[in-house]
Order: sequence, then C-alpha cells, then structure tokens
Amino acid sequence: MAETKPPAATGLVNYRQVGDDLLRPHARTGPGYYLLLAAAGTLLLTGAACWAYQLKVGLGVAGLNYPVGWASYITDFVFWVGIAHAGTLISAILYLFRAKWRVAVFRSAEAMTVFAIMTAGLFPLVHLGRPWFFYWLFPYPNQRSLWPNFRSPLVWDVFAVSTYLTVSVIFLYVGMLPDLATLRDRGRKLARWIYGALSLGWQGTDREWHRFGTAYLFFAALVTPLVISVHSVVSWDFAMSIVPGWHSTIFAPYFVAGAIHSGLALVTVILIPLRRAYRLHDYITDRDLENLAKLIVVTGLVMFYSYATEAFMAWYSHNPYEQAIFAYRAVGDYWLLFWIMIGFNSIAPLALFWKRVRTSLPALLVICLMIVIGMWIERFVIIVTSLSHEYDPSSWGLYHMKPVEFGILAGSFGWFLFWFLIFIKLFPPVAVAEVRESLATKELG
Amino acid sequence: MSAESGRPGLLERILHPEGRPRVVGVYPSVEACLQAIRQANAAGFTKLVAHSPIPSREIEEAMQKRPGVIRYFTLVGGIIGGAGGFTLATLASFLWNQNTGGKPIVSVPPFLIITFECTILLAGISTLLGFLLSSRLPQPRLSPAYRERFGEDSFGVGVVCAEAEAGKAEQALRQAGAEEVFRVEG
Amino acid sequence: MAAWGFTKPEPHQIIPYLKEPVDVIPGLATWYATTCRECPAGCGMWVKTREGRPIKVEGNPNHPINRGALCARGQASLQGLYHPNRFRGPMVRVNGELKPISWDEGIKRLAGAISELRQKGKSDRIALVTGAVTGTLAGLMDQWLAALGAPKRITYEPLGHNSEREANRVAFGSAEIPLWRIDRAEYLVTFSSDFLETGPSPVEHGRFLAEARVRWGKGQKRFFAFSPRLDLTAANADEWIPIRPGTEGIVVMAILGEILLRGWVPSEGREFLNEAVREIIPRFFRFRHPEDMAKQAGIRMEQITALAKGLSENRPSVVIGGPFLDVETCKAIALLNVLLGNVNRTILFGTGTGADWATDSEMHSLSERMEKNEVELLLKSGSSEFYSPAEKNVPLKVALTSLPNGYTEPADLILPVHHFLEDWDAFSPRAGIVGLVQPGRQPMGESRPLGDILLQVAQSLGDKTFSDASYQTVQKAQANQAQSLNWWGIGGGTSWNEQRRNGGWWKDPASVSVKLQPEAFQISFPTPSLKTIPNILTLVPFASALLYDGRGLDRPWLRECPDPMSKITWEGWAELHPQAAAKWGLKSGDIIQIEGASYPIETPVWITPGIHPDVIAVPMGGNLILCRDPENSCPVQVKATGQSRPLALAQGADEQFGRGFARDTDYVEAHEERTLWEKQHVRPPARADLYPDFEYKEHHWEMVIDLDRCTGCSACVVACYAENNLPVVGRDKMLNRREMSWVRIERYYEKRGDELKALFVPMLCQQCDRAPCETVCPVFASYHTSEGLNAQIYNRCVGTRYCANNCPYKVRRFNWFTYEWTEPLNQQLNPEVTVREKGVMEKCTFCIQRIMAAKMKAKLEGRKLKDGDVIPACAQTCPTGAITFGDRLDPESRVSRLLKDERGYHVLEQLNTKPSITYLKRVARHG
Repeated sequence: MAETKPPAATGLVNYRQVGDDLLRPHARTGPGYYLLLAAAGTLLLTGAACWAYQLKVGLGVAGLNYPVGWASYITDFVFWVGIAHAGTLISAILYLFRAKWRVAVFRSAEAMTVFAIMTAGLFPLVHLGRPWFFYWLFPYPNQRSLWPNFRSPLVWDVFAVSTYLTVSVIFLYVGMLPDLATLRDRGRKLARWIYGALSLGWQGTDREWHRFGTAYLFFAALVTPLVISVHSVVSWDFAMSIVPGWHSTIFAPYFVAGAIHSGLALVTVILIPLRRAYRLHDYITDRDLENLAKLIVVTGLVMFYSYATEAFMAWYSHNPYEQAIFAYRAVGDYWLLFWIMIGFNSIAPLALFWKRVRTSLPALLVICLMIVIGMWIERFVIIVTSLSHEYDPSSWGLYHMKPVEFGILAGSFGWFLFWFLIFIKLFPPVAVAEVRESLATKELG
Repeated sequence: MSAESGRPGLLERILHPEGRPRVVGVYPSVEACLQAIRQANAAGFTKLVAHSPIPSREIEEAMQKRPGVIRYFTLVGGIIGGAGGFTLATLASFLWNQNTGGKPIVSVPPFLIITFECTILLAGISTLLGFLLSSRLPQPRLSPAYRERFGEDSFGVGVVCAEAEAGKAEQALRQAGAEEVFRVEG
Repeated sequence: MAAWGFTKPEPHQIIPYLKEPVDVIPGLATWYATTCRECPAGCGMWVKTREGRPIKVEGNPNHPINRGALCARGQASLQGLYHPNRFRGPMVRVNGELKPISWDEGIKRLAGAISELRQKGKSDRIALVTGAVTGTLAGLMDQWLAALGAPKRITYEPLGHNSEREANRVAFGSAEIPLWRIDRAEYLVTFSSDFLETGPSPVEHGRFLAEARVRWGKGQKRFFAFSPRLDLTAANADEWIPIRPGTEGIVVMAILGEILLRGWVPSEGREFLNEAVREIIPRFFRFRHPEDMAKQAGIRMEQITALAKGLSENRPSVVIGGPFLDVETCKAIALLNVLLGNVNRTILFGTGTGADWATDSEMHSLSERMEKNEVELLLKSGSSEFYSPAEKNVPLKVALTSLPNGYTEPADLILPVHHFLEDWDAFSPRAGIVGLVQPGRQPMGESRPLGDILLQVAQSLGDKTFSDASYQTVQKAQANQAQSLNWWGIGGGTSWNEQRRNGGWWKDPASVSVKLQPEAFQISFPTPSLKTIPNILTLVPFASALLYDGRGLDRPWLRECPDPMSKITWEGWAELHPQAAAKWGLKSGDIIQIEGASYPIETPVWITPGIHPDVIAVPMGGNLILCRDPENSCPVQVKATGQSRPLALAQGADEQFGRGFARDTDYVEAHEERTLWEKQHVRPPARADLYPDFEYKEHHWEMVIDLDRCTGCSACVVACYAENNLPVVGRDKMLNRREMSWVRIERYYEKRGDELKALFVPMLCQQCDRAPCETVCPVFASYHTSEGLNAQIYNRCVGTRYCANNCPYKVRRFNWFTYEWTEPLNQQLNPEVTVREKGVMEKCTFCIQRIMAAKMKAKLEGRKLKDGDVIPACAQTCPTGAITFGDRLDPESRVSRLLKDERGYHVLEQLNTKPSITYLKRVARHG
C-alpha cells in the first residue's frame, strides 16, 4: 500500500508528503524572502523613476542618437522575449517529447515565461518617442478609420507578443488547476474562498482529468509553433530591414536558438537557488539540472554555428557593406563586446561537455550567468554595431549607454523578480499533481 | 432516481450529466481504485464517478472515456482565427490605403504572419472554452461526494444508483478493499 | 499628457488685429526689397514678412550681383535682427559695469565729449572707425567729421584685400578691388585666395566659377589653386597645390619668368613685353633661373612650366591673390595679369570697391596714435571689426553697434544702431550698382539709425549745417537728386517708389580701362627662408565661409552649420597635418597653445591631410579669441597642453571607401579595387522589382543636384534652417550626434594619385519611390504621396525610429527633446511649417509648404503649375544653381532635361530605392 511503500528513486514518501514538501514555500517564508522582495521592489521603483524622467524630458536622456536610433531598449526587449522562450520549450516541447524530467521544473519555467513576456512587453513602450500613443499600433476601429500598417514588422510584433502572452497565461493557469484545488482544500477561510474561485471547483473527477489531459496536449501543440514564430517575428524586425548585418535570412532560426539558449540559462540560474531555499532536492534533482546543462550545450553549439554562418555569408556574398560590418564588429569600436559575446555564448558552454563541470553546481551556475550576460551583449552588438556603421560613412557615429538606460534595465529585472517572487509565494513552484503522477507510474511499474 | 424526488433541474443536469453518486468508496491507491471500478461494473453499476489526486490513464481506460469535443473547438477556433486575421489585415489595408514603398495593398507574405498569429490565438482561447465546457467547469459548489483527501492521497469511486440498490453498491465497493465507504444523502 | 507636462501645452489663443495695418494681410506674406549688409558684397535681398515680422530672407532675383542667391551668412542675417543679446537701449560703462541710460543722455554725453575736445582745440583727436559704408551714409559721416574738424573717417575691412588694393594703386593708379570675370576666363590660377568663401563677393564669384566650369567641360585642368590649406576655393580647383605661405610671390615670379624666358607672352600682353623684359629679367633672372625659385618654394618645376604654358595658351585667364598676401606678391600678380592681357578683359577696374578702405599701414598708424595717447574719442560703428590693444589709452570709446561682440567689450558708451533689416540706408558695392536698404519691420528695441545719431549729436552741438529732421529725409532727398546730381555715377534714374520696389537701381557697370604704371616693375622680394625650423610652424589665419572674419560668431545657425571643410561645429580649431601632429604626438581634439602670434591662442587641433605640413591654420573668429593677424606668415610655436576634448564633428568618416556617395567622372576608374559585387550592383538591372511601378497622375517631383556646380558652401543648409523651423541644438547635443539639419553637405577626401581631392555631396531626403522607411512604419506616419513625395505625418508619428534605421541615406531626424527658441528668435519661425514636439521623426519635405502655396497661386490665377513655380529653399538660395527642382511628368521642365544627362547617378543605386534625387557627377579634368 502506498503509505508503506519504500521511498522511490526520488526518495518520495507519499502523496501527502509530496504536497507538504512542494507547498512549503506557500506555507512558510523566511525573512530572506521578504528581503529579496524588498530588493526587487527597490529596483522596480528605480526603473519606474528613470522612465518617468525620460517621459518628462524626452528620449534624449538616453544615449540614443543619430545614427543609432535603436539600442539598449530594443536589446532589452529582445533579451526578455528570448528569456520567455525556455519556459514554453520546457513545458510544451519537452511535454510533446515525453521528457519525464521536465515535471520538476516546468511550472517555474512557465511562470518565468509569462513574467518575461510581461517584462519584454514594457520595452516597446519605453522605446517609443511618444508612448502615450502606443495604442495606435493596435487595430481598433476609430471614426477616422485609421489602421496600423500590417506590412510593418513592428505590427507583427504586436500580434506575436500579445498572442504569446495570452496563450502562455492560459497554459500556465490550466496546468495549475489541480494544484489550486489542493491549495483550496488545505486553505482556511479567505484563502480557501480565493483558491476555491481560482480552481473553478476542480474535484479531480475522471471526466475533469480526461478533458484536462486532452486540453493540455492541444495547448502544448499550439504553443510549440507559436514560440518559434514569436522569436522569428522579433528577428524579422531586423532581418526585414536593409541594414547591413541585419538583413539576413538566418536570423529567424538564429534568434530562436539564441532565445532558448538564454532562457535555459536563466531557468537554471533561478532553479539552483530556488531548490536550495525550499529544500526541493527530492523533486528538482541533480539529474534534472544535468539534463538542462546538456540542453545548454546543444543550444550553445547552435549559436556557435550561427555566428560562423553569418560571418561566412558576409565573406561569401562579396557584399562590401556586409563585409565592412563584420570586420567592424570584430575589430571596431565595440570589439570587446563582440568577443565577450563569442566567448560567453559559444565557448563557455563547451565546458559542460565534461561531466565534472556539468554536475558541479557552482560551475554550472557561473556558466549560465555568463550565457545570460553574453546573450544580452549579443543583441546589443547586433543592433548597435550595424547602426553605427551603416551605409553612409559621413553618418557613422558611436552610441554609449546612459544612466537612465541602466536604471530601466535594472528596473526590468526588479519587475520580473517581483512577479516571480509573488508567484512562488502564492502558487506551487513545482507541479504537485504531476509529481504525484510520476510517483504513481512508478508504483504501477 | 426515486419517483418522489422530482426530476433534477436543468443546471443540475448540465453540471452532473451522469447524476450524483449515492455511495462513495475511498481507496488508498490507483490499483485499489481500479479494482473498485471493476467490482462496481461487475455488480452492474455503470454510472460511476471517480475522484483522484493525479491524472491516471488507467482509471480513464477503466471508465471507458471517449475523446471529447475539445478538438473540434480547437479546429474551428483556429480556422476562424486564421480567416479573421487575414480579413482584418486586408480590409484594414483597403480602408486606410496608403502607398508605402510601392508595395501592393494586399501584401500576402506579411499578412500571412498576422494570419498565423491569429490562428494560434483563437485556437488557444477556444480550446480553453472547450475544456471548461466539456469538463463541466466551473462548478459552483463541491459535490457532497467529494472529500479533501481526494485532492491529496486518496482515490474515490462513487456509484450513481437508486436508493434501493445502495446496499448492493456499498457491498461491491467494500469488496474492492475500501478504506471507508460513505453514503451521500440526496 | 499635456497636463502632466509630458507634451507641449496647448497654444494660447490668437488675438486678431483691432485696427489692421495697411500692408499686412494675415496669412499672406509681404515682401520688401533690401540689401544684405553682412559683408561688403552688397547682395540684393528680399525680406519675406508675415504679420509684420521678417521670417525669411532670399536673394533679389533681379539684382546683378547675386541673381536671387544668398550665402549662408546672408540667410543668417535674420538671427542678427532677432538676436536675444541685442542692446535694448543706450548704455554707459560705470566702473566696469554697463548701465542703461536714456537716448537724450547718451547723445548729450557724446556731444559733450566732442564739444569739450573742440574747445580744447583737440578735435583732431577724434577717430571714427567704420565698416564698409558708401553713398549717403558715407557722405554724411564725412560732412559730420569735417564739421567737427575731425580727421577723415577710417573704413576698415579685415578681408579688404589691403595689399592688393595698394598694389593696384601702384600698378594701375586705382586702389580698388577689380571685378574678376572668372566666368569669362579660360584658365584660373589663385594664390591663397578664398574667393569662394569670403572674397570681395562670394555669391557672385561662385556663380562665375560654376559658369566657367560648365563651359570648360572635360579636358585639361584649368583651375589651379596654390594655397597653404585645402580650403573651399582649393577644393573646387582642378588641382590644389600646397604651398608655404610667404612663397606665393616667388612662385608667381617663377611663372612670370618662365613665360618671359620661353617667349610665351601672348599677343595681348606684347604691349608691355619690352618693359617687362627690361625691368624683370635683370632684377630677377640674371643670376637665377625660375627653377631655383621653384625649388625655393618647394614646387616642382614641371608644374611651373605647365602653368606658364597653360596660362599663355588659354586666354583670357584670371590670376587672383588672397586677402593676406603682401604688396609685392600682389604687384607680381598684377604684372602677370597684364602680360597675359587679362587686365581690362577679365580683370575690370572702375568698380571703386574698397577705394576708400584703410590700408594696413593706416590701421597701424591709428594704433600708434592710440599708443601715444593722440586719440581721445574713438567711435566704432556698425560691423567694424577693428580692435587694437592700444584702445585702453583712449579715454572715451563709443560703440555704435546693435550687438555686443569682441569690439564693444571695452566701449565706455554704447549707442545701439538699427540692424539693417530695421533701417533705411543705401549701399553701393561697386560703381553702377546701388542697393537700397529698407526696413522689414519696426525696430525691435530702442535702437536708432546711425545717421540719426550723428545728426542728433550735430544738432545738439548746435551745428547749422545739419538742420535736417532725420537721416531718412537726407537719404530720400539724395536718392531723388540721384539722377540730377548723378550722385552715384549712374545718370538718368528711377523714382523713389521704383527704387524701393527694385531694392535699388543699377546699370551695367561701365568698366574703366586702366594702364600699367612703370612703378609696377619695382618689385623686390626678400628671399624667403625655406629651411623648416624644427617645431616652428607658420600660422595661417583663414576666414571661414560661415564665420567670415568673426562676424558669424553670434549667429546660432552659422555656429551649428558645420564648417564646409572641417565639419566642426560650435567651436574653434587649429588645422594640422598628420606629419606635424606626429611631431607633438597630437590627435584630433587635443588642446594646444599657439605662441608667437599677436597674442597666444588656445584651441583644440583637428588633424587633416588637407594642409601643408609646415602650416598651422586657425579660422578667424572661429576660436573665440579673434585671430585677425594681417601679416601673411607668422612663425609660431605649438605647445600641447595635455588636455583634450572631443570636437563637435558633424561628419563620421572622412573617406567614402568607394561607396559612391560623392562621385566625379573619374569615380569608377578611381575605385577599381572595389569588389566584383559592387561593380555588378552599381546599376540595378532594368527590371529589379517584384511590384509594378506606382502611377503618378498629376506631378512627380524630382530634384537634380549638379555636383559640378556645387561648391560645398553650405548656404542651402542654413536656408533650410530658416525655412523649416529647424531647432538649433548646441554643442553638447552635437557631440551626441543629435543635429537636426535636414540637408547636410558631406565632405569626402579622395586620394587620386598623389593629389588630394575633396568631394562634396549635399545629402537630403531622397524621396525614394521604393522608400525603405515607408514600409516599416507601423502607423503609416511615413507614406508616399500621389506626387512622389515621401511624406512624414508628425501628428501620427509615435517615434519608433524604425524609419531612420531603415534609411540608407541617414537623412531622418528625431526630436530627442522639445526644443525651445529663446525670445525673440521665435519671432522668426515660419508660420507655414509645424514646430515639432519631442518624440517625432522629421526630415526634408521638398518644402511641401511651397508646393502647396504654388498650387494655390496657380489655382487663383486659373492656370496649371508651370516649371519654376516651386523652388525649395535650398535650391532658391544656391549661389551656383546646383540644385534644380521640378516636375518629372512635364517633359519640358528643366529637371526632365537634366535627367537625360549621362553624368547622372543615384546614391546607393544597388539598393534599388529609386530616389527622386539624381546627382550629376562632378566633371574631373586631367593634364
């Protein structure tokens, strides 16, 4: 019988035990949590203040200039959209591939996705010259019958990102229904009422479970192509333009790979402290982390390939403008960033080929942090170098990031962290039902 | 249903198409739960309601679940979304027709991107709709047959039957090794 | 949003006229004809006023000198009128501080000082220094001074070609600047000349040169510029020959000698052959051969011979010297011109230009008199740029000017005079041309006409000769007497009203034929020491096309507009050759100290290949310490201060790496090394489009820019600022590359063999038919009009800046801030053009407001638009007529005709953006 079953490979005791463990953060939170929350809040406020200042004075407070009209804000946008991708990859794609180990991590990954999109979504606003008219980018009926230009990649962005946000929220929410029910049953008074409302009266009947399974499968099937399309669209913001160094057909796959690369890295960076803080070692096992590390090796190799291809095409095309840009990236004013990008994104992950590195948490953590930074720098290099050395030599100019931009970047991390912390406080960061399921399958052998 | 208690209301019939279980057995594990279902079927009870804390393919098979309507929601939603997306882009371009870079009014390649995104969006939303409808959610209140342990570590098998057959049902559930069997007053 | 202060507040309500002025129709512009007084060239000017405010000045199309064009300085004269720093009223300096006083008191103080001097019998200790004045005002000044018993008026023009006038006095008996008919010349050699930047008449000479270039066409080189630095004039020559200042003279003599010795003197010059041989040969060529002179000057002999040959074979020619040459060199040039038979053919005397201007020696003697305390009252009027350290000895210094500048600084009494756009006056740049100066608006402040001030002083001195009520009556009277008295040397004339309508009156200048005086042959050169002393450079002050001798310093437009050669804005600089820079280990932006000039200069350096290695060049006025050292070559020492600050450059790279922005007819050969790809793509295949062409029904506006005419003078840039309400952003924002100019002149250095060339290309919105900027705008703020314009809707723009990224020509400008116009500069704003707020993109519109106005006009007159109805501001002001605008659908339009020229090309053709601007390659000449 279940109660007396010897601990399974994961060292599980029984279902209720599982619940107790996984809902611990929900039950008790130490001062460390609130300290972290306060830190996140402060960052958030800093960013907000910077933005307010920028709104008041004008975009000139940023380092943006002419010819570099896009820089750190767009970099941040692409970076956060990229982060958003890993969540869906883990929850949807690995689900379709029936990768069991995803069970431990997919919930936090999905949450990360949602909050990352919410963060990314802010940057187009921050970036606009007149953000108070942002709604002009949406197709809404108006008596002047003005409509957006559906040929503009920016409008594609609007559609892609908003769709992605909607569907991932649905995905996350539906997946949480059973756990919400558990929280309802464990909760008292107000909590019980709130979770009761959120869980829609889920009672784990056979009918509910059956429909749940079907729906989840469909969601996974829908989100998978979506996630690919979203970052492709983002990459087309660049690829559709005629700017040398941007106008390239490899951009879509290149950006998708990069997105997943950075996303996986950030998932790992978040999971390691998380499982330590909540002693979730039984559920987020070293093997799970190692699997993540292996995936990162793969994406790292893809990045390496993409960089190589880009450079090769520039040389092979005989297009002097393209060649000039790549030469400029490597030895021009931003050479340091370029080589950091190569090193952090495609050289450093190679170390994970060695099991010793892969399995040592500090090493893994460091490499993942390097990748997160490196991927931000990658977008910066792509955007800024191309613009600063475009076609017209007389208009060549440099861009330097200004305090306001750093403030807003920090603010975006604050905003993201803030939501994530609230989430793990209010909802189970690891999917309870799915973990129990994996245990049940073990029972049946 | 006994003759004296009149027919159940519409909402009731929508939320509980197979009626309310009268007798419920509580089981510690999936196997036990499966056992109970077989016992109940053997005893001639076909209208069963199983509660479980985990999704279990075995239970679904035992209950002979047939694929639901969700897939049609997804399909139709997707089609509407796709058509709608393309129409939106096209109509808007005609309503506010500007020459930009000499591109045609209906520029198909870019519009296909809009089309795709709208397809996914509406497919997703309608799937959610289909899921809620077909799984009879949201439920205004928990059924009396539900116990909190069903959300934790226990499985329940409820038998929908007439008052008269309750005893027989209870017996069947006990034979399957129920930790506890309780009756639901209806 | 406005409530939160994020956007501009709503405008205040507009109050209509209670009593409508006579010639003001709200919404319609009124034009007044006047004469530009920014420099002595005296270009005719039309002032466009709206509701009583001048908002734009344009050249007077009927004026013989500028034919409707204006230079950058002329365009910027408006900012002199509306300058925030203008004196509100008279001021007196009380222990260092300027205190405002009433006019009566101001006049009383001046009159008092004068009467005091007269009583002491010291009225000869009065000195009046003024900029170029002529006619009525000059006459009044002279009478006035005579009445006071004061010495003659001293007219000082720093760029007045003083040595040349002196040389002409000796050689031809008339101390004037002749008229150089460059347009008639077959061959042109200049020595340190700047006739395209400042000269006596830059607009006119620009036009002359353009006409000559067009006539010259391809073939041999015809324009050689000897100059220490690659200035605008040298950049427009067929070849620039770097030369050490001070050696011009012997180069001229070497050429002269070569012509004489080889017997190449043309028939036209035979008249003086004998004297020349008799006088010159023994003095110069008995002991040395021209070759030695060439060696001395560091010029290849083949060059000298070639020039001598060219000059004698291509007649008539013009040989011009610069403003800073010494008298001997100018004499030599005069002789050369005589022997080549240019005098009276292409070099016409009788202009009277500068005849009454002071020479350097006179200025020096004035300084000496001040040193010796022999000047007790110094009056400096108008744009006089004279300053001498000795002024400190003068007890009373009176400034009769409208704007504070370096020279008003030491003044004790300031009596503000009208800006010429508020004033009645007349100015005659040369015989036969009288430009009328009439006001475009009511005076801004308490200023008064100079003439009135003089009259009032005289009246308060109780002088009977000046009973006239006001200066205007004097002037009007004289204007009406003009025909009878033949005051201007023009005989029968026109009525006062006609004169006001025309902006003056003129007839073809009758040139006076002159004859060479024997004294001209008395030329003697100190053999210049040519061994370069280590760490000693020769300082060359040069007048920039924008700042002139420093008069442009207080004009925001002229400071923001990049210097045509260096592309530096808002600050001074010193130009150094990379070799020289290497000696001190200097790089652009390092601040140096220049010692050995009349006073030490501290300024950042700009390293450029376009300068002689032994020379350091400093723009006059450019570095706020005004360097106006008349001496031609002064040896200076350079010290690196160790400090360094970035230069506010408006140009990224100095080369174009064969990208073909600026092309001359040699371009393709010169860039053989370009890759296969570039060669294939330099012209797109005839049909490279996925989509059908857009059908233009009414008009298809196009522009043709002829680089063979463009001199890079940047007048168009400033005109655009004036017409389209472009904000001035200032140095700090320029450092950040946030300039707002819609049109810029790109300057690229090209090494051709061992020659250094500078190519210019005006870059503005190309109004592409396949505009990359249009497709990417998410809100249709940027779209294509049915007339081929690439329109930008400010109201719709949300500021994604995607269009700017996607513009390969980088001509879109973003409003990083909401820019302010300091009062009263905002009174100059053009009401027909929106003032943009922060967060929106803007760019060249082909002056769409002018297109609209022209259509309206045509409609009212019930006719169709005809070619020339629409002229954008840049094309309107271009001195050389390099810019042509018109309707391509009209086969007869000048644009349509120019489009057939085989020199035509599109920038970045391979991108197939189909620009509406076609450039015509500059014609390169060889041999």
